Amino acid sequence: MRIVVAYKWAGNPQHADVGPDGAVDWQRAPATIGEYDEVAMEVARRLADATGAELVGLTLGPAHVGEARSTKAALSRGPDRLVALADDGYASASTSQTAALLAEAVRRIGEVDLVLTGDSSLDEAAKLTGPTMAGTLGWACLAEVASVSAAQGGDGVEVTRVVDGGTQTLTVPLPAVLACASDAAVPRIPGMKDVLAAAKKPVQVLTCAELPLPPVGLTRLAASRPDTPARRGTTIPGEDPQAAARTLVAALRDAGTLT
Amino acid sequence: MDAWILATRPAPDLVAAAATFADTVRVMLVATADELAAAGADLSGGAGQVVVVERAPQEPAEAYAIAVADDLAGRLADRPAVVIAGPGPTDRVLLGAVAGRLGCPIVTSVLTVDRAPGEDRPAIARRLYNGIAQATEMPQGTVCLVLADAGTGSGSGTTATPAGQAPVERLAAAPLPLRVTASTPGAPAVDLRLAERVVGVGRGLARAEDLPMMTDLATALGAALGCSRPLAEGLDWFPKSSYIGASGTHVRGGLYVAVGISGQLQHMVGTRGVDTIVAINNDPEAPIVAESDYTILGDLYAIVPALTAAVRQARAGGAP
Repeated sequence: MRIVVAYKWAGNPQHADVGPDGAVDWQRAPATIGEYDEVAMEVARRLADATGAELVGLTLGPAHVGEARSTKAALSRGPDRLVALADDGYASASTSQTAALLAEAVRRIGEVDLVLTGDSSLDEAAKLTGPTMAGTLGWACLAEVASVSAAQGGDGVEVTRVVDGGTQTLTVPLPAVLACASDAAVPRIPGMKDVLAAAKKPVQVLTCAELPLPPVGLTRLAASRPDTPARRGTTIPGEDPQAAARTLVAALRDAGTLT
Repeated sequence: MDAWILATRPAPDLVAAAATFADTVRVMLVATADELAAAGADLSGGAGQVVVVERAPQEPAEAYAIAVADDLAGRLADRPAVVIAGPGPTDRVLLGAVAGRLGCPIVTSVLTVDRAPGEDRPAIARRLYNGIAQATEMPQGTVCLVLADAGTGSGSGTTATPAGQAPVERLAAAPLPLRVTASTPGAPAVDLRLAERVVGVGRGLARAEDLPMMTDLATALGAALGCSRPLAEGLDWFPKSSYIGASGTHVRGGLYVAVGISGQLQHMVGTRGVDTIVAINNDPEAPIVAESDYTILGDLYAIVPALTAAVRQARAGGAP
């Protein structure tokens, strides 16, 4: 069995700078593997151990996602080897372009039975990469997956997921794409052995020359900093809680917020 | 401009939102026979046409995602459309199947959808990267949208088709062999998006035992109770449907009161649609101060009960 776990190497938007034209500068936002992707990697590693499957890590992004800092971070978290679509030409890849490229990479890896993804990425939280990959590949897909194990008949996998507060158990035919719930597992913290072993694992880097970007299908009409209305930012000292409460309630009443 | 909504239950909110920018609104519904019977005449949610894919109860709706995508691809071959789904996990699997099958762009974090000037295409304003930037984009053909908030457009579309009048087409579709083998029901998910007032609890609350104090405040305000991410994941004090944030629920009512929440971008991006934000926090440097209209700076354990009492008095008609 072959399992692919897709992850994103990206910066936290909280630390990025944005120009008046909406251009985002990630210099002060160092990239990491998103915490939900780490959950998916943990789920993937455990399933690979349980089934004797090969685990291949897969990612896409600017050239630096194929460099040592990024590949070691990924390889120390479970995958046996890595395929990195790493090219500055991918830097502005949209959700649909990313999904199409990752799906094509899965085809090229070949004989993939299962693709696991995290719940959402740290920087965009679109929550659609897995489902769109499944759509491109024509495979079964489920999201909010809490656990995955080999099915008892030997056919497919058994999955549990949270649905409207309750839980469901399902059998899912392979091949399939499963998006792991954000709390599906507590990821291991890579130890020294994991980090040292990471340096020896194979990394294959693919670029735009091998996997060109498909058309984006969108024309950008405008971009800017957010239009979010500025908040008042009024502070009310709270040493006298009753007085503070009265002040707030009066302000909310005057604004018609508290009817 | 045509709109197609993918859903597993009648979606009048999404239909109404689509009607603000599209000329025709159609719905593709994947549901069980019981669900269809229960919906009755309200199946279309106001749309002009409904295509129904009936699933057996032990088949998850996701089993039909590829078949739905193939069918829709045929219908849209010469007529690009705006394909819309809600933010739930099953909705996203249906939408992703269509987006992947068509190779069309996807837009999330949508702010508004209008007609692009002089074009029979939408102009979609959307947030980027948790809201640190925003952009307006126009698709070249079909586009897939996640609409988490209804009522996005300022255009005037067709008025809703009255209940029971939309033609219902039954689509015979072949599912993938996914099967539900066991099911334990749980408490129905809280939908904070519908709440006019919400109180959010964060890590400033030391113990789960202190939650009743927060429930009292919420009750006094007539508010729903939500939380920041750590309290729903890891701490498990709240179900995931209660967590407000980038990959959680986006609240958008008249009032949001954030108690013991520091105001990280990840959380605040789930509150952008709210009219008035109030915070209670003991840290004057916390990011939430700049992100709120009013912050009471102090110990939440003293302030929350005082605020509860003051709100009760004010709502009972007394002077504050």
